[in-house]
Amino acid sequence: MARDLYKWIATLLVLLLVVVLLRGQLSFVITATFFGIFAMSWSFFTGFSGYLNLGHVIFCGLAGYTSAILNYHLGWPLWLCLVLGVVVGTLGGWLYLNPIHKRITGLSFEMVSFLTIVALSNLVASSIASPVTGGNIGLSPLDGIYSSVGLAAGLAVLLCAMGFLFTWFLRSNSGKVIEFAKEDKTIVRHAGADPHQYTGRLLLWSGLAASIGGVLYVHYSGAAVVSNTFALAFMIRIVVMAIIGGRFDLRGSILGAYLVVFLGMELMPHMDAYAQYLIIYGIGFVIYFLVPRGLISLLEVPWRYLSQSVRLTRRVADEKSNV
Amino acid sequence: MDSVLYVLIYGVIFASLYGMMTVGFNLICGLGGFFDIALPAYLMVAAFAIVKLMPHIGHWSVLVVMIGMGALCLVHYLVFIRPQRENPYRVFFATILLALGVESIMALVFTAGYTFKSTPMISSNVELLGVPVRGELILGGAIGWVALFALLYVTTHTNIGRAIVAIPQSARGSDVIGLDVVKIQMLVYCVGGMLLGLGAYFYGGYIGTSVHMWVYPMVIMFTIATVGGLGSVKGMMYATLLIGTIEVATVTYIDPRIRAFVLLGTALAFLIYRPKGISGLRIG
Repeated sequence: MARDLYKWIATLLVLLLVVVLLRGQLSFVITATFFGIFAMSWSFFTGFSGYLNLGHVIFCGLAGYTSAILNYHLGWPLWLCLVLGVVVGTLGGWLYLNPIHKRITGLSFEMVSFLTIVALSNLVASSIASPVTGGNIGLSPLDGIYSSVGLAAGLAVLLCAMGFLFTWFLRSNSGKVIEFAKEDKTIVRHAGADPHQYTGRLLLWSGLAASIGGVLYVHYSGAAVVSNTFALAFMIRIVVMAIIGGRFDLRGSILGAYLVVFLGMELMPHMDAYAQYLIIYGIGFVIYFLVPRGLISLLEVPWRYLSQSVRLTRRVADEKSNV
Repeated sequence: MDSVLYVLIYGVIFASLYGMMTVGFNLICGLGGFFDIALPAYLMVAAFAIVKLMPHIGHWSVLVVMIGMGALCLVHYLVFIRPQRENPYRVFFATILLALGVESIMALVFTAGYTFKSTPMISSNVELLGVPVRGELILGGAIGWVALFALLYVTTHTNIGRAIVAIPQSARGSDVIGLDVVKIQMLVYCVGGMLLGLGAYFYGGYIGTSVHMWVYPMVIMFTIATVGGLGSVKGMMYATLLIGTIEVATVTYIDPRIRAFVLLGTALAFLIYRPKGISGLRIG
């Protein structure tokens, strides 16, 4: 575990370096970190459980809207809204998705989770819900979380802390059971364990991280609207980020989030949103087929070579000192 | 009483339109054991093609688009589906990205947020049991039901039709008796694509053609496939009637924007309590 901790500290240092170097474009750094949280939490469940959860934004949306509703309509203090938003988002999303992933087999889970966000985005904008949710316009203004170096650094710390806890979970006995279940659920069942119980835990932690990201993102945006909560494009963007970076690797998802947000930043002055989407989806499509483990897998070869060289140098030095 | 009649009449009409749009999706999913999300996006492409061709070749555009859609779906199958048909997750994900890519292209070519209308074949209203209905919708409903009954006949009385129904029930058994799954899938894609093109004319003509129009039909296709049971034309026909009526009732009595939620709830109830659907196969 110590090695994992060092790796996450190294990741944090890199992210803090990005914050320092791109102080002039803090909004992009902060947005990339938010998407890093979303993409990593999505990968944590999808990459390791074997279920393709296309309803991950249910957590972000429920959390964000709960916090926004309490803040906008009742005027409750920001910290309380954030806490309650996280609780409602995590539990609401988990209570919906967990039984579905247990009861519905195969691709139907993926399809249901995917279509749920279509249904929710329509429901939020409907006349029935609009007195509470603000309909198409959404809820704005909200008590905001403002762009600053402190926020960017704090989010980087939060992201890496989540990453470390996720790694710790995956290294635990529960994580090992999940790994076995991903290969073959019947083996786990024969061993007397219910694989869904373990993947359910994975979903809960993944949902908690997404809910924390969701409430913070809504207040950072200053508004709760469909486009930053339940939107189909929002969900697919998260998925594409994880695919580009590497959906089976937590750091890969973070890499993907940063790459896509910064690619968007570069493309923005030259083309409209749909052309950007087309390019990003196109890259996601190509990487999905050509590099299924994402761009981070391309770094493994030089990394392995580098670590072998370091080990070799150390061994030679040890041998010399022994002589 | 009037509103009940309205719900029933429009329910039956929309059932046939949804049946035309869904039959390809349903049979394809049944045959391959995967969900092809690109099909609803092709519905949008077909609707745009009709709108753009209509001023030049009139209503022949519907026939041209039907043939074009058959060809497009065939090419789609050969390029995107066939190489990875053994892996339903890859098909599912690749087609989601493809659908969103198609949406982005259409948004770039035709302005996003703008709704186009095609010229109807019949512009007058007709009274059915005292309920005024657009003549175009009655025509669409009639053609849809004829197409569905014809397909039902084909799947129950011809060898190729029986093969379409048999493959989802046992892919290995079908292999053993020498059924060529790829050829049958190609045929289904082609016929399904043509019906999708026809459905696009009536559906696009009623709600208007826009770049986001494919999302809701995706909910409809999945719900009907789930409720009816994959690979079953008969089950699908019952499901279209049920879903058409539920949808029109939701729009009439509650709110149009809640209909996706209601349909998804229906699909979920079937997936949990009756995964085989009305008379089909367990999916996934």
